[in-house]
Amino acid sequence: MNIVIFDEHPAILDSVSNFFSQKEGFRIGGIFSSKSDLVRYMNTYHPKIIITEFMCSDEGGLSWVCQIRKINPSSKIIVFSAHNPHLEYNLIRSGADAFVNKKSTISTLHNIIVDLCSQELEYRREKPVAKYLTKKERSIVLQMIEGATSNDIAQKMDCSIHTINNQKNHLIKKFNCNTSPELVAKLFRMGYIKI
Amino acid sequence: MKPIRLVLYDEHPIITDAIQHYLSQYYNVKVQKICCSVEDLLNHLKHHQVDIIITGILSSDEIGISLISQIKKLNKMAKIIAFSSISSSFTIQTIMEAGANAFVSKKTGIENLYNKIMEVNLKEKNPCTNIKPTVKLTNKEKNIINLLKQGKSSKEISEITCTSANTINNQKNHLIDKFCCSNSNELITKLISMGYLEI
Repeated sequence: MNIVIFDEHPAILDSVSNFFSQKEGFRIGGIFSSKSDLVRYMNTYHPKIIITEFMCSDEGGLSWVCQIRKINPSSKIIVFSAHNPHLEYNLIRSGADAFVNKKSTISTLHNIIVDLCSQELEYRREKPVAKYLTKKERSIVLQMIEGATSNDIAQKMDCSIHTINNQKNHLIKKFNCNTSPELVAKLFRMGYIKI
Repeated sequence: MKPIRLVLYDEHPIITDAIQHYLSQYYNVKVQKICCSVEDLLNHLKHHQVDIIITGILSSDEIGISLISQIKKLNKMAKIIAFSSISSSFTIQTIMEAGANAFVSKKTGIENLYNKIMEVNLKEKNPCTNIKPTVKLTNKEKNIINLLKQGKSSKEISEITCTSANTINNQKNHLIDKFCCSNSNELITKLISMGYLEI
């Protein structure tokens, strides 16, 4: 089975690919640390199994999982990440087949993949649901986390403070939050912005 | 020459495994112990002599960067290499100020780690020069931050903790000052990137 791995950390890529290249029945199609390379590969080869991190330094998060699913409707997507198991439900809704925490051992990852592959594809899928950040929203958020006030942002983006406040409130609603610190924490947790 | 004694700490076994596997090809370094929890690590340091500690920074134990000063307290001579996925330059600076001898980004691959080990090992042993004490969070502060993260307003927090809203605002402002921030959004960001707050 053709397997590809995406992660920004070479240590992870090395050990996962090492492990699977020794297992029978798997063939490493490629290891990727850049999203665009992986997208290009997937468009041509449609690998059977995709192991991916969803937090990455350029725009990542749930929308990345969504994107992979769109390109590969019938692949098995396994999210292998250090981040919060509470997100599992959201990840599955964005199109992942399974979530494996990086704190577990690599043989757990293997077992889950074997399990997934033994189940025949039943077409369970609803349309993936993930929220996207628009470019403008993103730039507002990035300024917010640096401690900029609405006033600062308005001056920088050359628009009214009310517009910024509006967009902020819209974001807070979009992610079901009550306050902006909560929004910031949530965006980190969901991988839309990275440390 | 005796091999350099190493201790590895990371919450993710896959990382420590990879490091150990990579370093096993070198005879001049020896992995003495692999720890998966802070407790484990500190315990080991209490009882053993170690040359270099390779450690992750963000853990779910919410001790963040104060981990480094704790290590230093237990073992003054040991050198610390932070191996982390953090990329914010502010955090890296804080890590170094807290007493780490080197920082290696997880994004750059393990080969770098070996070079850094050699480099750090050669450096003269002049520990504890102008190390800034690291900030610690009190239990009360942790509690407030967690509530803040959940989207509670000062008023709601004051109701939960049975204090006045003014007290909470005071404590919030104190925290914002303590971490040199300008508002609570920035505070949350900083706390997450310094490992005080779990994502």
